[in-house]
Amino acid sequence: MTDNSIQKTTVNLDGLLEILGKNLYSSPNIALRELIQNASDACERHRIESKETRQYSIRLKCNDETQQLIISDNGSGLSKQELQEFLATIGSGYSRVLRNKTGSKDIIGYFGLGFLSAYVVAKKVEVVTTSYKSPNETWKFTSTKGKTYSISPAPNSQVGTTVTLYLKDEFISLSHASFVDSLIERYCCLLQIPIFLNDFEDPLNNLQPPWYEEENTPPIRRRKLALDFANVFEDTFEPIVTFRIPNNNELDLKGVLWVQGGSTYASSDNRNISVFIRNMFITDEDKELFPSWAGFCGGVLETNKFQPTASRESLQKDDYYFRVKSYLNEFLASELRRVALEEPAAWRRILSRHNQAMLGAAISSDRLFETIHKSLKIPTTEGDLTIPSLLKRSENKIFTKISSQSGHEEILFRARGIPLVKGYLFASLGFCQKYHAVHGVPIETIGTKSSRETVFPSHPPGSYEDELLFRRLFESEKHEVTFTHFKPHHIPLLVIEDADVITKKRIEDDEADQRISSAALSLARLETKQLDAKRERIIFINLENNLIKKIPYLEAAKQEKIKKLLISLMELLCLEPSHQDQDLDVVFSQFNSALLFFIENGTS
Amino acid sequence: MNIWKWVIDRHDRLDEEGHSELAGLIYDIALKSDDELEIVDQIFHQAIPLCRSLEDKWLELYFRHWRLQAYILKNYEAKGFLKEAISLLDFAYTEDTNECPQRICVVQDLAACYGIKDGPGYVEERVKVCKETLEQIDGSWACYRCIGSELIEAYMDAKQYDIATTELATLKKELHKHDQTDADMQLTQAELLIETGQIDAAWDFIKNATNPDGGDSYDVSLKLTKARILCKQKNWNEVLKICPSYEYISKFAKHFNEWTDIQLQLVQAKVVTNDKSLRFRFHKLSNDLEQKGANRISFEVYERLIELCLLTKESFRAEIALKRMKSLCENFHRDMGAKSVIHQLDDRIRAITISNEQVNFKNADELIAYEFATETAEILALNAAIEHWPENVDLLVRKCKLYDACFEKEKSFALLSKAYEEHESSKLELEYGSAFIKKHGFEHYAQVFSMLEIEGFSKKRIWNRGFLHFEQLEKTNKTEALKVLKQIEGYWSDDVYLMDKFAQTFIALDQYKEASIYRQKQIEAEPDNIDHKWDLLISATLDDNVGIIVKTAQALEHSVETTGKFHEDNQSLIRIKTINDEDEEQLLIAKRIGPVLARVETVSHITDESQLYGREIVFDPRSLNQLDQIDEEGRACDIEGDYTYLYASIKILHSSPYQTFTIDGVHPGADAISQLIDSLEKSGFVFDLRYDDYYPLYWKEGVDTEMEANGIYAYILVNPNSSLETLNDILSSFNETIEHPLIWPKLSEHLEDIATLQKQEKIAEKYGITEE
Repeated sequence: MTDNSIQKTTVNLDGLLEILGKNLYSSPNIALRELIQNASDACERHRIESKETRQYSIRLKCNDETQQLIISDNGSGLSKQELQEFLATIGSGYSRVLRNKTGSKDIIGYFGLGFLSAYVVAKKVEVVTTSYKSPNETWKFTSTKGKTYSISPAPNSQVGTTVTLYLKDEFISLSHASFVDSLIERYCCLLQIPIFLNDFEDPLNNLQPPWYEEENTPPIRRRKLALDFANVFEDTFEPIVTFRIPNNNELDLKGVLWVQGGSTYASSDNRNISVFIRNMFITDEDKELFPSWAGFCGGVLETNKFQPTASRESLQKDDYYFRVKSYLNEFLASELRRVALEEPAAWRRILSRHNQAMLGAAISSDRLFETIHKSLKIPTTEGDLTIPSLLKRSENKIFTKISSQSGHEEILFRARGIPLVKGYLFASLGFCQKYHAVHGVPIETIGTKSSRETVFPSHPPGSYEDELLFRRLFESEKHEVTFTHFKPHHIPLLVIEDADVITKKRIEDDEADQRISSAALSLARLETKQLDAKRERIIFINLENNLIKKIPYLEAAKQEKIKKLLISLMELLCLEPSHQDQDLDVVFSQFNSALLFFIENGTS
Repeated sequence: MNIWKWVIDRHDRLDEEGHSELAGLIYDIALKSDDELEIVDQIFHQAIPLCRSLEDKWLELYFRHWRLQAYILKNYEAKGFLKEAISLLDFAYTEDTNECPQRICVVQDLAACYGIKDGPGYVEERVKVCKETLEQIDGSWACYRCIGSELIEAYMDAKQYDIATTELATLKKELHKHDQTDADMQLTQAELLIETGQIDAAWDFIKNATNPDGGDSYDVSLKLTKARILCKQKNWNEVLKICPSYEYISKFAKHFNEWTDIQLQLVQAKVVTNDKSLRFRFHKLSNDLEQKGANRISFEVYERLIELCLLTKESFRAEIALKRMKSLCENFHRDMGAKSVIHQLDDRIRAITISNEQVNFKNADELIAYEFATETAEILALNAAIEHWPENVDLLVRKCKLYDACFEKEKSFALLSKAYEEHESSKLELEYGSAFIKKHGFEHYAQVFSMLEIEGFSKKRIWNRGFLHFEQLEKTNKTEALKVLKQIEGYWSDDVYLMDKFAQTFIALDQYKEASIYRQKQIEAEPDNIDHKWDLLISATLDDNVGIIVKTAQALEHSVETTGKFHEDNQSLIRIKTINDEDEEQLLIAKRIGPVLARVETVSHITDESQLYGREIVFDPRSLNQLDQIDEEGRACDIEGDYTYLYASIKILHSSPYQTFTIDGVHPGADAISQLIDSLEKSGFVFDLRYDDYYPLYWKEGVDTEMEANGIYAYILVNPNSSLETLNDILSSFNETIEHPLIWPKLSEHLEDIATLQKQEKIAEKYGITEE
């Protein structure tokens, strides 16, 4: 037989509190934020419902001897019925009711779970409250562990609420003034109602967000205030330039963003963003709100439109979240663009600290690229250069290298004084590729087949006999000869490895069967079989070189000696990197004239 | 096998060993590989040299694999990265790497490359590779899921859904056995259900799917899968709501296939308009896929494009798409019915009956301004018009642009080339010339389109050819650029723009007299344009032509003395923006001593190669800032709070620079320093205090007495006419009057005064003065 009547479920409040305390909030310190938020909402409720103006305040008292934390406000207070309805019933908050009713942006609470956090940190909670609706009645609510409660009349006090937490031993830190001070600074620094601690006369939260400044504040002052404000939130890198989100934007978003005054590495992601909802701190973990290229930026955002999660420690990834993300991407790009155009001193400060990171930013943002591409410096083998300087020195082409190791092709560039962009450093290759895509300037990465065709144009020798001679002299099982001409003419030849052929040989070698599984190897061989070239090294012979020109006129023995000399020189240059730090142009010149002398004088 | 364990261990070890830069990149590349290709590339190029410097082949393998993941799996770059996938396979199975867990993933990279190149064509090979690899690992490996997904996709490409379903169940079982998530396989499973007609089951399966590690890319894939299910359910409104926009999906090639499939269904359901823009988008996506070497998917997207074209009788674009399909077909490993699809589409395109858009154009201009609904209508109208007005090159150019818009660049270039041969036209000179430079580079252009072969050309044509040469040459060879301008001048001597180019080029070549001549010509041509007068002031100042400066300044109502400079009382402070030898922007404070001439007041840092103090700079008088803000005290300032105008430097004049020396030591007191400054200034030296306030010096007097006092550090600038010996004498005499002697090692070194230098070394040692 089944019982179809509706039954109430039973709740194990002890267990529930433990679960909520441990899982809903990442830190029980959040309890303080939640209770201050309740106090703030009570003040706002009073302002809305009583139509009365008063100087609202929240007062905290910490007593580490008695292990108490007391939070008082002079807001609306609660009637007996409200005490029962809102404090004694978990999940039922008045804040949401009131916000929905009035549309007030200053009411913070959402889930009615805030008061629950008190039970997480306190063994006993006492609330003494006087409602503005019945100022002659004061009620005392007492609850131990939240399981039972009592409400009794109390001696009449002024309108408002005082919550006393008798802290559990493990949360005794909440009764230490210095600790509470630090929590208030973190969570409540933007709250507009002053919060006083113990007997201090000055409120703890006296930070004035720049978006509340009067519109006619002079821009210079506004800038200084924004910088001071940003400094409060930026622990690691002092802000150097700030951008204020314009008021009245379509997202109803307020905030200040900034560029940090330092960084760890160009690729480091130091995005630092603090999010407040209705002036209450929610999270500084949502750095994805900034574009990923903005690893050198920080910001504070405040809005009533973000939807927090139940713990109010993170944001829901809803449509609004993504709209803000997209807005911030555009905003940061356009502000950096504006600074580049209008504020040369600030722009210099940014560049001196974040040049390489800005290369990355320019790759990701077309608008930013368009404005700043000329002022960014690219790391090259001839020092850091701007694009105009680079193009001036490399005949309006961009040559890059993607390995930090030097090869023969690089020798040529160094001898010519043509800078090679260090493509292996953060963002430099991508930036050049973008410049190529936008401005059509040719870009070549040395070591690739296409760059070789540009650097070493094909140029057959004058006669078939000469060609045969050079092939006989220089070609081998490993070496292929290509005839070309290049500057400077005193470099006779260069030897370059063909990476594709090397891979092909390794993949097709029987030895590969021993180490790579057969199906994968077969798949790889499908591709390598299509490659015709067989020799691993290509010797580019410079037919404009005087030495090379003389070779056909030498006797066979000398030809062989010259060939050996040349090849060994090239090997030496390749294998001995320390030599490459010398002035190669001079080395080649001397080498060339010495050999010429040797040939012309006919000594062996 | 916890594949991440070694990565995490290696990360921590690198951090401990002080290689935090490389350590940071390890996690970055994996996190960004989903959605941020540009950043992946940046990280990769930074990381590889670091790995190689540490000779850490495992890490190199790791970074190379993640880059391939980003390029191949997310962006379908099969063409460009197949070689790298093969090279990485070779690298991953060597003595140094064959214990690295990541080596398994490399097999997936390679298999995926072939899958993207021609999924159905390589099914057999992919299945073999995946199975072989799965046999080497178990469900505890993270890559078990990736290889497993690759296997299922291979079966799905072969439309072997039964086998795919069985294999998927086996894979999931193995994963569960090892307590591993199968979240990565959710979408594959949903696709399988869709393909086997289990639409409702697919929806139930996918509706609440999440993958917290999946990134934006997963979210888009999920939306597209849901949209495909909704299409099957004919729930078009929901499809419209959920399907991501073109702008979004166009960034990630892996979404092109599904998106075009959904859009075609929306068109067929008459929910989305089949307009030119949509067809262009399909064409762009298929062309992009073709360029990436994603042959089979490109083929399929072209097929959908043709379906769109057939619905609107758009035979022109359809024929182009069909041509591309035929070409792609050549690259397939196995045909898999492709030729048959082509035949059918060919027949259907041929069957299109075109009703020409009945528009009667009175002239060619009217046609060019007309917005056609289809490219077919446009090409027909253009062809008819070209027949009617064969000499009208605007029509020919428009036709070329139409081919461009259909990704037929070669055809467009060939048409331009033909038109150029057949017509004498300035417009074609520009259009074809520009296209030629873009395609073959300027060197080749200069050979084919020589400035020596312009006889008989119209004036406009000479202008266009000339400026194509000039614009390229002015970047690399100003002398040659000038020669070109002179050739143009023979035909356009009274053109103000040309005069401007002349003046600019002459200035760049330091030929200021000639520049002034052209500036004067500009003034004659446009006497009311004051910019020309300012420009003349620049060239005249560079040329030091006082007569012109005085006359022109007066014409601009600026009062200058007979020297061409302002009276001392009228010289104001300004700032000059210049570029130093290090290619860095510098902001210098300067005195504006003439209309476009300033003298630098900023003392440069001693480590700067050239001291700019006292140098004269010719600047552009059009200020870079505006003093349009008011500070708190009501003073005018610019947006950065500066009170002076900022100008761009044109040239730093070759006056002999000041030399800079330093003095250093214990501060002798304000009065003493004041006396020193007086004596220095009387002898023409410039004293520049660098710091004294926060410069404490500590030393010992006797054995134990610790002393502390403020130090002083200053520059002394010496102009080329002053004697260094005099400076040395002044400083030496001054030293005799003070308790703690100062030092000036740089000067002593310069004077080769070894004795003084040694004495100063001892002083420096005593007071703990370190060299800057």
